[in-house]
Amino acid sequence: MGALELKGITKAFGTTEVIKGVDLTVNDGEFCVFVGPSGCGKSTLLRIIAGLEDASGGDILLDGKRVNDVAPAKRELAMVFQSYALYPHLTVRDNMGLALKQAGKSRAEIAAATDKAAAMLALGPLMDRRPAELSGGQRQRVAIGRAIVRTPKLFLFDEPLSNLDAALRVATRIEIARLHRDLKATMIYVTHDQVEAMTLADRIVVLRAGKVEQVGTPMELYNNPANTFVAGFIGSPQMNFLDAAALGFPPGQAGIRPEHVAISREGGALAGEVSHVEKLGGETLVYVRNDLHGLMTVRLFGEHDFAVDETVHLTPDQDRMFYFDTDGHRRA
Amino acid sequence: MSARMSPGRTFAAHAALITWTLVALFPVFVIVINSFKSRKAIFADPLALPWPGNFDLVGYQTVMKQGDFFLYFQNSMIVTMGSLFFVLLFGAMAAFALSEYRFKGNTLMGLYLALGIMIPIRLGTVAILEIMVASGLVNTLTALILVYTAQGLPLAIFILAEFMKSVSDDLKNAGRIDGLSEYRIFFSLVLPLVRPAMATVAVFTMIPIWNDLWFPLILAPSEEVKTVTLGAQVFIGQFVTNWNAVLAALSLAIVPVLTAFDLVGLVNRSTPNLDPDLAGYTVEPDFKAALTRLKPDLVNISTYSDSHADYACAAMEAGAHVFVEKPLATTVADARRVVDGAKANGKKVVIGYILRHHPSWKRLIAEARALGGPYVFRLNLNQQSSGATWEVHKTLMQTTSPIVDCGVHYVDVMCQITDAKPIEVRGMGLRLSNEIAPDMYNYGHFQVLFEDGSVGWYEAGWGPMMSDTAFFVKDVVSPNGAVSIRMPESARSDDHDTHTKTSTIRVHRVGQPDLDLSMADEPGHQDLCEREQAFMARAILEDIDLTRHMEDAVQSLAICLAADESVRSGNPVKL
Repeated sequence: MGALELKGITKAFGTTEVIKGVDLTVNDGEFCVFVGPSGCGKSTLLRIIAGLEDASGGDILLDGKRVNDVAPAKRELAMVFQSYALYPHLTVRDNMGLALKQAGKSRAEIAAATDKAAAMLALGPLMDRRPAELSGGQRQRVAIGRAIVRTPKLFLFDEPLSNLDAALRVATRIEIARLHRDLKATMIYVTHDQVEAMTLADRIVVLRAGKVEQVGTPMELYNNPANTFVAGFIGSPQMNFLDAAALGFPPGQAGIRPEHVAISREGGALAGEVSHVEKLGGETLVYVRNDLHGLMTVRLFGEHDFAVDETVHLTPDQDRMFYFDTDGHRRA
Repeated sequence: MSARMSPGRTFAAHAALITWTLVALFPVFVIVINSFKSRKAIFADPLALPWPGNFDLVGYQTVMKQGDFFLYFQNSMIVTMGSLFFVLLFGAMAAFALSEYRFKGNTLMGLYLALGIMIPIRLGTVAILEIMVASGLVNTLTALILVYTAQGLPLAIFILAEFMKSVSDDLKNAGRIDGLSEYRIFFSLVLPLVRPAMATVAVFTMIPIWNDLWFPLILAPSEEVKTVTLGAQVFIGQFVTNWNAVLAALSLAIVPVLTAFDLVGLVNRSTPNLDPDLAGYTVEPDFKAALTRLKPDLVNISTYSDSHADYACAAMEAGAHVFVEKPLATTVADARRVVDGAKANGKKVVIGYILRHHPSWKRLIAEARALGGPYVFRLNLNQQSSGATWEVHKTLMQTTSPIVDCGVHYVDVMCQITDAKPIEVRGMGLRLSNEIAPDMYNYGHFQVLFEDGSVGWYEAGWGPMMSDTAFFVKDVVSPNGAVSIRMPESARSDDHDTHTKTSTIRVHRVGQPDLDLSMADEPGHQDLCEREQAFMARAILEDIDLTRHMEDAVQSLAICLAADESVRSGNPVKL
């Protein structure tokens, strides 16, 4: 119940191709996150799955059945939007019940489904309010509730946390993770925030310019990136890219994550000056300028004191280095 | 508004706006005044106001005789409303299609429709006429509605499409996923969100249609489908123009907007002689039955004072607003009951303090307040009454003494000038006639002491024995000078217009020459009643808060009743 398969999906607006052939399988019950920078086509892909946009080419299969020509409402999926998209003239209860009402469900069935969803999201006291009387976080919970009520085969989330403040974003993220565990439903989640992708996903699909760059579990992407784009996109702070030739390797780039670089005042592989220090309490980020490789980031646990312009020596952990060719592909 | 404007800029802005308003209203004003004048008078002095010398209703008489203006109105109404409906419906639908769906030629279609804004539909008159003749629609309202719908659509689509683009895509998509049809998305999600734009389009569409002369003249000139503008043109000829009738017809076109009240019934326990204007109305004896049957919006209670409170409460319980003559009641408890009833039923109660609508009294109050307190108020009104007027006075005195009946007006004036709380009342009176009850007095006067030190004196006497000397004193004295209303010595004391008509306000400031403000051309009693009626209408239509109005009425009544108590007990009454 709820497996999705995309075969050679393309999409063009006029002569501009925004999706350039996407093949993907999302298994039943899987939490799949589409991640990528703005304009990479992730939202368009989600709209094609929902049926809000027609694919220019390729097939969309839900549970093995081709649904290209099926109307959005008949695809048995639910979508949560970035702007919440609640119906301003309806109460929370009616917002949540509208889809079932359209599907011709009885009043008792609708009441049972909305009450159940309201209980899951603690929306009980808000049921008779209108969207204008709710805070941003409450609106997004209602939008999620509206999706749950339909018991869809597939949940689609379009950057649902982007409009929330930082604290609320963490709380809602945890709530969505809990929902996925409870409902065991297939979920597709679009975001440009790699932290959301890493924390929520069973599998991440990294997109760039309408193409899939890599698909894998969060740890696969972290430990085994296929190219410099994925390596740079996953992980925070971003991976350091050094000039491989200068280190005595074939031309290209050598990547090392900031947490895998050792720093010392006495001596090491690369010398440089401290250009900036960020102390976050639990960790300290040291930015070091090296003449050959540019600015490098070092991530240290705990508190450390470094003065700006102080000379330090950096030593990358050789076992954790990734090597990329001149086209950015990982060397075998 | 977050930014405060300086007084100078506020003044400049208001001056500019008021000037423009006057400029815009001037033609309407000229049309209306000239519609009441004879042809000769119009040309002799177009800007003269109608007065008995030039007043002439011949214009209105001609219009009523020559044309069926109610039919013309109805035709204009049908054409305007019909066209408006179709323009909004089709315009909104087309705008939705253009803004929401991507299809081949979308942009081209938008441009094509926008072109319609620039090309006047009148260029196609000949072709339109040919089509209408061929389809047999000449001289029908349908022809006009079709043409006006076509005329209004381009602008409507252009404006609405822009607004519809701003409606969130997510909202429409949410509707699609929830299984709403495109029609439901259009009608129940998008339309409510573009209501302000719809209102704008409605105004832009309606005005040219209502005012149009061209198409009615060409497509529907026959009598039974004529519109108002065409009807008015009947009087404009090639050689001679019947200006009175044109102006009267144009004035009539403004009238429907101004009507506020319509008389639905009259109630009186006896059968009075009705004014000729009221002929045709039957007088019912039973107030409660009339309320149930007629379900009026407003009840005007002009009975004797002792029945005011009961009738007012009954009217409000039946769902009506109330206009009640002063005094509000004969006891403070009854007055309070009416005020509470008004609050409980959410109804408007206006008490007939006619002086509050009088420009001279408003001026007197303003000038007195400008002098600054504390004040001495010297106010009286004695009435040498005989015959029918004396009979009315005697009936009034069956329940209310003169100082209570008339005093409330003047105490109200005192309270409006000082703002301070009244603290003590001392009164005395005398029975000067055997024609009234033994415990009633037809002459009385009282003094009111206010918290700020102000003192007031009021005197009232009714009857054939009263003198005409100094019967009308309206005088306010303060440390800085005095304000008085001056009345010619020849004025008669029992004429209604005397109480309300004033001629000169004299402002006397210490050490400065007196300033006489002429109050000539003052409103008469009927005019004041109309102002009072207009205030009542505004109170209802604009939901004006009347709490202060009612509280003032209760307070002035309480003072006058205290004066009455003091007269009877011989002791001052502390408030």
